Amino acid sequence: MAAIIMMAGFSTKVMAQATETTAAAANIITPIAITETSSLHFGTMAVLAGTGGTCVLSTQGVRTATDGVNLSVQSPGATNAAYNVSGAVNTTYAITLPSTITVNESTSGSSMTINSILARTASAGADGLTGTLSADGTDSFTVGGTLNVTAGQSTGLYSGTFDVTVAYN
Amino acid sequence: MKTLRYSLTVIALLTGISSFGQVSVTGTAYTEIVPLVTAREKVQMNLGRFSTDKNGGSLVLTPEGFRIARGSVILLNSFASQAVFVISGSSDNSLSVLLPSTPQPLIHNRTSNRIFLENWTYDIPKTNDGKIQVNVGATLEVGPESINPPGEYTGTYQVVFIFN
Repeated sequence: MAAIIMMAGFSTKVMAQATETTAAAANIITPIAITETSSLHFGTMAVLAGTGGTCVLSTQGVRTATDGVNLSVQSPGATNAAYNVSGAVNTTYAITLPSTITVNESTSGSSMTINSILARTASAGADGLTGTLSADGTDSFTVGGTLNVTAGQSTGLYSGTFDVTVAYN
Repeated sequence: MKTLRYSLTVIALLTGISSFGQVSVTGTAYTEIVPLVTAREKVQMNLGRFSTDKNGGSLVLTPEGFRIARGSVILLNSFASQAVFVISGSSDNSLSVLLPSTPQPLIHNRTSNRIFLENWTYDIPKTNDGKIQVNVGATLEVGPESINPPGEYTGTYQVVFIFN
């Protein structure tokens, strides 16, 4: 299609040639990048045999338990997932988090779900899904959520994977 | 020609955004469920009866339940016992016991005067029938009678048990 248009243009110039300077632009953007600096870990806890509950890990690393969940100070402790973001300076970006994460224990085959997953960017200083890259093109954010523990949940180490996406607005 | 140039510009811009404007990373979530830990005070700490003169002294209660008088403290014949705690939980893990790190006050039943328990100690935890027993002792620092008049002194303290 482009070739046809160009041929038409040349034939026009033969009849009456004219030159006009027009602007051409290209916007080369710095690719946005994300790296994980810390895994999401709800730490160690126990649960009553007859009453389940939740473990809420805030985006600022504060852990609280409800109902039958008893938090333990045993290692390893709780940590937020943490990420560094880099890209175009002074540019806003959006964070996409999963709605749920499933963690599994390999021996028993038991699982738990994590929901109410939240992010908190250093640039915004509050929970939210939008951040702003700084003058040097960097920002960071943390992720927390709510772990749902059923009554008598099998003991063991649970793990699962999840995707986090960042995109320019 | 103008139409062609503008078209090329738009194509370049769109290509850049679609390739580099979004990126994902896969992370891992963890948590560990451990057996529920319970702790029960089987026997309350009781330093028994004693007397002192105006100089005061100290009374050492060992985790094994032995009383040792120091200074002008005189032990009187009475029931006395170390504190005994029974813990259940993860017997596969070693147990840490956190005792008060600062003197803990006992309050006189009539005057509200205070007497202090310090130098808290515990013996090696013993496992029996899947439960762990920990004995706790401490040293009572007794002031002169003007500060610690005769009477009954009571108080509370906190012990933390941690499976490592």
